[in-house]
Amino acid sequence: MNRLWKALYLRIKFLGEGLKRRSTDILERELEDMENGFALLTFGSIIGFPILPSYIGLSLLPYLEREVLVMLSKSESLDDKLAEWADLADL
Amino acid sequence: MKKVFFFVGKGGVGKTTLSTSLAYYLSRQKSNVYFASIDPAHNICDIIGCPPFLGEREIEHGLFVEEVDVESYLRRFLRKIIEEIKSTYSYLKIINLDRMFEVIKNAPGMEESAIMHGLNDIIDRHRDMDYIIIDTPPTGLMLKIFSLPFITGTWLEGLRDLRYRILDRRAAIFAIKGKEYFGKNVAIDKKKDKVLKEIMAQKALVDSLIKTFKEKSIFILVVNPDRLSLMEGIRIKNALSNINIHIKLILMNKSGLLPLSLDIKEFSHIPIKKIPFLENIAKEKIYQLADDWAKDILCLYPEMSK
Repeated sequence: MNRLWKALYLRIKFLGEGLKRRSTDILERELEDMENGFALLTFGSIIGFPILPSYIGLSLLPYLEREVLVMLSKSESLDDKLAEWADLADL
Repeated sequence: MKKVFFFVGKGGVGKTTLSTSLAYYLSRQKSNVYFASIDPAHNICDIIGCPPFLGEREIEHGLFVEEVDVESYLRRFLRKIIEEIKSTYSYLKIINLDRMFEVIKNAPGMEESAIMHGLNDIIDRHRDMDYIIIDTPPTGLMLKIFSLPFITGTWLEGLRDLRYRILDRRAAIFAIKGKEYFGKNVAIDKKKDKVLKEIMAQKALVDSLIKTFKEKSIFILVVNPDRLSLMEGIRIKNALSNINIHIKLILMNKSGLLPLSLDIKEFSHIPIKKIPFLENIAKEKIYQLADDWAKDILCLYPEMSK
């Protein structure tokens, strides 16, 4: 009986962990899109959006390492958006 | 600080001559006056008749003059960025950042930004003066400088809101997945985020400038009686009105030299003072130039008179 309870406990624990991991998937994707957007807005002038005054982009540049990396990885997967959505929807 | 006077107008209409005359006038009224040019092509020294000098100098009792070195603000700004980048992106050490920034220094928009920072700095450093008088560059650059704080302010508000949303998402993920997910150098807390801190610092700077423009400043438009200068004057008035800055006085310089060649009903609600044409800009003549109109502008704002 004891072993049964232990097995059940472990199953619930793993299920909980799995749900926990899945629960942030959408948040993570949303965060990456926001960070990507932030980097694009900040450095837009470099890729042809003549919008944000350049000095603002420059003054933020030293602190935007993560956003720049996210932007670069997003730009690499731009031709495979469908796969990204399919992955998000667990298809 | 009682007021900041900005002299605006087309190139060559006499902004520097008339701003110098106001500076002399106010200093003779026993006021402390800081008089600066933010035009990259300065000529205050040509008018007051002394060799150009760096920094600020008291040329008469209570009258401090400076031809603001715009490039030094640009250099200081870029130097700070280079140092920050070198410390954050240590793997970029192989790239010659100094050479890259020589190119960025000349990028579009950098000069206006440097002048805006310079303007904020000189106003901030001279808050103890009774009056600040600023001689501005000709129209094109001047309009960009005055509109830049408004445009930048709008952008910074948008970036700040997006940053708040990013930090909220990060905090939510952090609460579930723990600190390993983001690693060491990614800020979660709003108080520790350097990006947000920089956005807020820039926002405070532009807000302070906008407040000075709206609450403490008197914009004086200098025109000549010729058609081109009057037409440009109308455009300046309208462009400044669009950002809620209003011309308080028009000085029609070189009056009498030419007949008035344009209907100026656009200026009907703004006081206009005619300034006679000076054949030579001797110091005594410049001294007297403001006697006629400076009193009037001080009367418009009685809180400014001692």
